[in-house]
Amino acid sequence: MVKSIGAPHDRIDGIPKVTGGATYAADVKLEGQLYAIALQSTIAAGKIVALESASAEATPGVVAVYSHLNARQALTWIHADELLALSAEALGLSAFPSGSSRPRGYLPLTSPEIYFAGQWIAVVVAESIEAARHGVGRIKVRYEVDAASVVMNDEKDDWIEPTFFFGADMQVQRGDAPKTRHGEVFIQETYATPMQLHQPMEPSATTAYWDGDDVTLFDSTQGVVATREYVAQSLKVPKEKVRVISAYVGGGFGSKNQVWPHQALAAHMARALGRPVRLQLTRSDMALASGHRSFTEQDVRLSADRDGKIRLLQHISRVPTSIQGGFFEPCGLNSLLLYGAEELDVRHRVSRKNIPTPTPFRAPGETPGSFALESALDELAHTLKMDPLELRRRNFPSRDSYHDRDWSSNHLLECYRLGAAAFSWPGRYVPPRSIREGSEMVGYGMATTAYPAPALPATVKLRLQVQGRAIIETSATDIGTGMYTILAQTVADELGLPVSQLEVRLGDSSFPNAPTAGRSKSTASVLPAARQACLSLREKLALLGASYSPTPQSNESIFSLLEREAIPEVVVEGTSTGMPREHDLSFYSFGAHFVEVRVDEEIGRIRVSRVVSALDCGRIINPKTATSQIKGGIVFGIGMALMEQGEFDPIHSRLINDNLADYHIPVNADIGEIDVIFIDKPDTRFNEFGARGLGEIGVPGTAAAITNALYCATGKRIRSLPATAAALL
Amino acid sequence: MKTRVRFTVNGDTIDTAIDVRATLLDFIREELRLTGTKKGCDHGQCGACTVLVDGKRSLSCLKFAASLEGRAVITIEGIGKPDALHPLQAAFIKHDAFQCGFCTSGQIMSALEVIGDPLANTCEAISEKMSGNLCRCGAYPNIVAAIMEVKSNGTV
Repeated sequence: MVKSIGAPHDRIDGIPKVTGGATYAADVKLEGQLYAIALQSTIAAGKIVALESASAEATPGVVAVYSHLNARQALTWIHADELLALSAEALGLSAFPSGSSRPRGYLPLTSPEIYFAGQWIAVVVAESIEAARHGVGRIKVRYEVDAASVVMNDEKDDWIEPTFFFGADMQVQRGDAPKTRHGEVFIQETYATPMQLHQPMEPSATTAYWDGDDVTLFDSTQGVVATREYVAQSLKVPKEKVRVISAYVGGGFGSKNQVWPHQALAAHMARALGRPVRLQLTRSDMALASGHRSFTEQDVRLSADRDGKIRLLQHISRVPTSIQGGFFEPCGLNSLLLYGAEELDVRHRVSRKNIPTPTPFRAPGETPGSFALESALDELAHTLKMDPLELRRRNFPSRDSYHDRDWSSNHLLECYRLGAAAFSWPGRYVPPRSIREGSEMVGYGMATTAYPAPALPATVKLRLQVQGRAIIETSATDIGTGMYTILAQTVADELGLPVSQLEVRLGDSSFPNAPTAGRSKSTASVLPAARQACLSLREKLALLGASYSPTPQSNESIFSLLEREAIPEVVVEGTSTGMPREHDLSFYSFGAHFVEVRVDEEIGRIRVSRVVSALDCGRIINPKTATSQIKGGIVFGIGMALMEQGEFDPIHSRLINDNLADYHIPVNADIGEIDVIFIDKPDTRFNEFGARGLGEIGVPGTAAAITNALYCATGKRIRSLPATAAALL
Repeated sequence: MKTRVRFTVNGDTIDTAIDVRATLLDFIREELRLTGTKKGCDHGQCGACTVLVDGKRSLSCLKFAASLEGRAVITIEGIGKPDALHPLQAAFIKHDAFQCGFCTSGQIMSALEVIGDPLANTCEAISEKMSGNLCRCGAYPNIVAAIMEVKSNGTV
């Protein structure tokens, strides 16, 4: 039988997805189900002094209105430290020095205090969507307004210096005090990236129903296990009583990575009302109630020899978090690892603003950080009149100097070589404004990308059934990544079965535990567990008196063995260990983006006409889905470079573009040719498959490669994203 | 307030009293339980709710169900079945024209009009005409490839 791993395989969840049969959280409708919609605060700071819900409650079809006035009693909806610890609000809080001012996280409907505009202040539950919406419009609120701040101010803000986050010190200094020596060239610039909204196509939704003491949530989450834990803690019930199902998730990108209050709130309301409740976020709620990537400001100073060897790298980030939360963008992560400068100064300063709590967004830290770092490298290359690719080659990090460890595997130089060849990279210094074709200026730009390769323990259950079917179950989710398919490929190879005989079931907390689908860790966590399950199956079969090895002829024998022994089903589990034990290595993925842009300067029109990305992500399990995932990451990078920008009203501090008409994401016509090349060399020191995850690595570096190409085309350096027509004119 | 409306959905006659505030999207999802059509934004900004009304693509979140008197609505459930896929559905799988799958019904309904559009014969033109359907996963090049294949094979 042809090996399935490594072959381009169609998604096995394709048919339900193209026929409308895939059931997402809001597609569930249960007997007697109610609908809930939230009301947002219109002010950014202050407090509610009056909330009048009588006319909303009197609206035909409205069943209940909840706010801080009644949620505690009516819903047992209580803010507690144990709950905060499991919530999206808490991520990052431990990085803040403990002190009297330690924030408590925000939970809607627990107090009249307002911390940001768009905060949920009431929820209406009704017999229909129409009635719920009508009810929301009839709530009257009076506020006492305080001054709000959504803009960072270097001099006036109270800056906090966080300590340890994302496995790294947030304040790192190596070598002497940063200074440029005689004979060195340097650049020193400030780069800014805007607030970005995840906006997955599926707005988050939770449909909750109770059956006696048991509650089931049809939810839209990247992690059903973490959600179960949070919801159980909130309801004060044993977690065995909570089941979370997310068989299909309509994209997440980080917005569904953490647990948000609505997921528990639906269950509380369903309990109080004795009927199933569906709480679906509106598109506006997706901008305000499930996190975002914050804006950043980053000062970068690079100092290098005339031959381009970087001696000093300073990267100081100023980033916001919310009034009550903890997450901030750790922009300096890649600066710690790439380019190996002797003198390193990587620091982060955080300021609290009246914004919703930020949250991980596809390569948090690396994405905005790499825009600054890779732009600065390009500026250095131009200062030296050196090919930007050659500059990076000369500063190749042969080991992880921050952790003082070797890489498990690093084929970055091969990415540079293969990417440049496929792109036809000039291979010499190209001065800005030197290529014109017709009415367009043409430019080339490149950047490095890097992303860690984590893994956590996971368990996969395998059920071999005498009818000739094998069922694979784990609580991992497929948020569009291809997990359904690569799991089937793995088991197919291990057992010598065709994929068509396998059924993969995901996203159910009643299945064995697997980590949340985020931080590019699922492949390396779940596939080794699946392999362990297959090994256990063979051992179990051997105990039954028959050894089994996967050969083309053995397809029938594995099932006929069960038939002969009159066993209807064999069930086994396999568990992976997460990161390799007793290692002293750094596990990272690498890559390089090469971009061509075309600019019509008369009208400021920018086209990203060509992208070639070469990536070292270990062995590729499914080139088809892997290529799509990387292309998707590059599309995110194009959006970040050219259009995405959350904007606040300067007077009211409200997010203006909380919708998909005003917050621009790339559309079909924005995307040109994208070629993805995989080095495809297994990282066998990481796991037996040699595979690393690749959900995120497509994003870092892409925006810088584009603005670097824009500089090459036009001579205009874009240091503040997005690079709009206005920025070029 | 409700009003009596008669129209067809995937060939079946609907003759019922409908809340005048209900959009076509909410009606087909919540009342008819045809949930293949998705609510992405509810404001006509994303295309996930695209259906055919009298053969033309239409955003079902921007239409009141009560305004459909005499019309013929086709949803993704009326296009093909798991064991008898429409060529566009098969092409979407073959070209990996989706990841999370949430925008896919809308993409396919939109593409149904585009494959019959004599002016959409190049990748650029198809890309332009498919730009009302957002895909955050970024499957755009693959969506164009899928549509091109169906167009060039003339299987529709």
